[in-house]
Amino acid sequence: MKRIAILGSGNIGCDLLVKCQETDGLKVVSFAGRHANSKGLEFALRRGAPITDRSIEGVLEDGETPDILIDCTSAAYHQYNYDLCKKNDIRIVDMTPAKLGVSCCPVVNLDECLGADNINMISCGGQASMPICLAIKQANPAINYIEVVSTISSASAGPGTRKNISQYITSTQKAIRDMLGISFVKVIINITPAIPPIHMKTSILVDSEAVLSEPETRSSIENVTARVRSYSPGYYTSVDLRRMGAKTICQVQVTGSGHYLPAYAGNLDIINCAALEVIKKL
Amino acid sequence: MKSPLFYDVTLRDGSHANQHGFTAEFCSSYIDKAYSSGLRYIEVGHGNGLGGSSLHIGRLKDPLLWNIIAEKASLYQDLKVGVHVIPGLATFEDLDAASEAGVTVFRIACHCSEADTTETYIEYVSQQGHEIWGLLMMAHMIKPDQLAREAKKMESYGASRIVFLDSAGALTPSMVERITREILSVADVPLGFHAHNNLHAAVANSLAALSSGCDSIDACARGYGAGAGNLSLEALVALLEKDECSTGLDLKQLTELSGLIEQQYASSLPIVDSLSTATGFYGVFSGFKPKILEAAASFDVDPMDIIASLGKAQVIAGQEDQIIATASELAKEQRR
Repeated sequence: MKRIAILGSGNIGCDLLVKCQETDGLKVVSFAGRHANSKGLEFALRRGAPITDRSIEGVLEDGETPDILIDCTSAAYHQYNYDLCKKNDIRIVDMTPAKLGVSCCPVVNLDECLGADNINMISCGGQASMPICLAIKQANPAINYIEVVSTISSASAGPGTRKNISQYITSTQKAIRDMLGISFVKVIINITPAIPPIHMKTSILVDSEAVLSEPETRSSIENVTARVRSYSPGYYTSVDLRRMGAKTICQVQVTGSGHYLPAYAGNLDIINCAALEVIKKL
Repeated sequence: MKSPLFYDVTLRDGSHANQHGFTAEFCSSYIDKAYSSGLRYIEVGHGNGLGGSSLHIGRLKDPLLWNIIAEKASLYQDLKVGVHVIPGLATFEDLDAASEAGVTVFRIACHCSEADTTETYIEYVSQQGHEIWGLLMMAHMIKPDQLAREAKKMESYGASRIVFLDSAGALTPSMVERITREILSVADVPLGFHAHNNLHAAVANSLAALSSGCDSIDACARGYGAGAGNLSLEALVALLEKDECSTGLDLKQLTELSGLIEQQYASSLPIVDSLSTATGFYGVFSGFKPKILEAAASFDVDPMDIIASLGKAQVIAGQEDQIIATASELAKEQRR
């Protein structure tokens, strides 16, 4: 039985709590926030998880020591949390964009990450786009430019997302560039208030002249999306690979599992599903 | 009436009309002429602003544009060169590059209901000491009191002026008046308006904005902008001068400026056609026009159906991929 602590009582933390509690072999030993009466702590209490309002200190000092801590706070706090985890020999799965550990997208490099003491889950757009980028790269090894356009619903974009747009773009670009060896990556994000809220959509665009074979690229995409569905069941192509003049486009839609968050919040669900996949294998 | 501040967006919004194809050479002669006409605020760049150059929206054909900004900004000391900045396309690195090139007006823009996405960008530019305007795009999509709340947020972040944009040319003069009054009832900074001509209302809407309290106007020479075009700069100036409002601009030179556009971009001059009536009516972003036509041809579906679907789904500027997704869906439905 792996002992899990969840640090941060926002949407991500609450959704991960449900996911961990519903997974065999995982036991949530601590759910930590900062404010005693927060919505997240009340939710965790109702779900029967041991809670603390003293952040990481509470995790370390009260009750069972975890094997793995999931950091759902923010990039600014991550270094502090990481230092304490290192001292206490606790592995950390980082949901913030701090990038102190090894970046992980399960279909790309899960096995290579399993030895690390700090595993970073990149970003929601990174988790949604990286699989398609991988599929395109595998079918077209010489590809040197790729573009990722994610659109998320306003309802699923919390204050953290809204304050970190520039950082989100640069860090997601860097992760795709470094992990897949694609020289130029451009990331775009839209936040739309349309009602009902849209399910997260991510389009991947490449220069048509860089696509060696459309059928092979398409089958590579089918293969990779099927692998992603093994941990993020709502991951489907909504526009099959299509040549539109100089550009070739493919779009995926991510429907969330509806655990704590509504189904439209596929952006938050996929990063949590990816983290859960890592935790299962650790 | 006191003359408004004229903000010339030709070299940015016009980028939508010629598929981001302005040459540095053309921009150079345009800016010279515009300056001598009396214009002091000129915006330059990709149609979607900094970071807009992409396969998704269209690539900027001439990267030398930046050199022109640097050259003109040092040549004309009282010229203010502006850029359009949408958080989500632009990054802080793009802001740095624009600042280094001599840009002094940063118009931080977002979809009208998402003002909080501009907070960190406004703060970032504030540290560089530049002029910051806050822009609310697709202003027809929310109610005037909501727009006023979003405008107030931008003001609290540090914007020194608010502009609301009728990006789909979907507003009427009475709507423009209501929005203007509502924003001015809460804002402590001045207000501007940016029109599109989808329903032939760019002039009427701009006059309504001015008579109800706006004091800056976005305009393009020859109305050269996205979709059905923007407000025609020279037409508004002519109307104001006839009404004995002294604009300080040289109308003869402005018509020559318009002529420059007519000569160079004869094949892409905006017109109000059936498609723009539909985009205006359904409230679909003006800049989508070429992509709607492209997707309609590729999937063999009616562009009017695409427009109606995009309007119903409340698709916003920046979601160009959704035009393709919509056309693909419509094609599937047709086959059923």
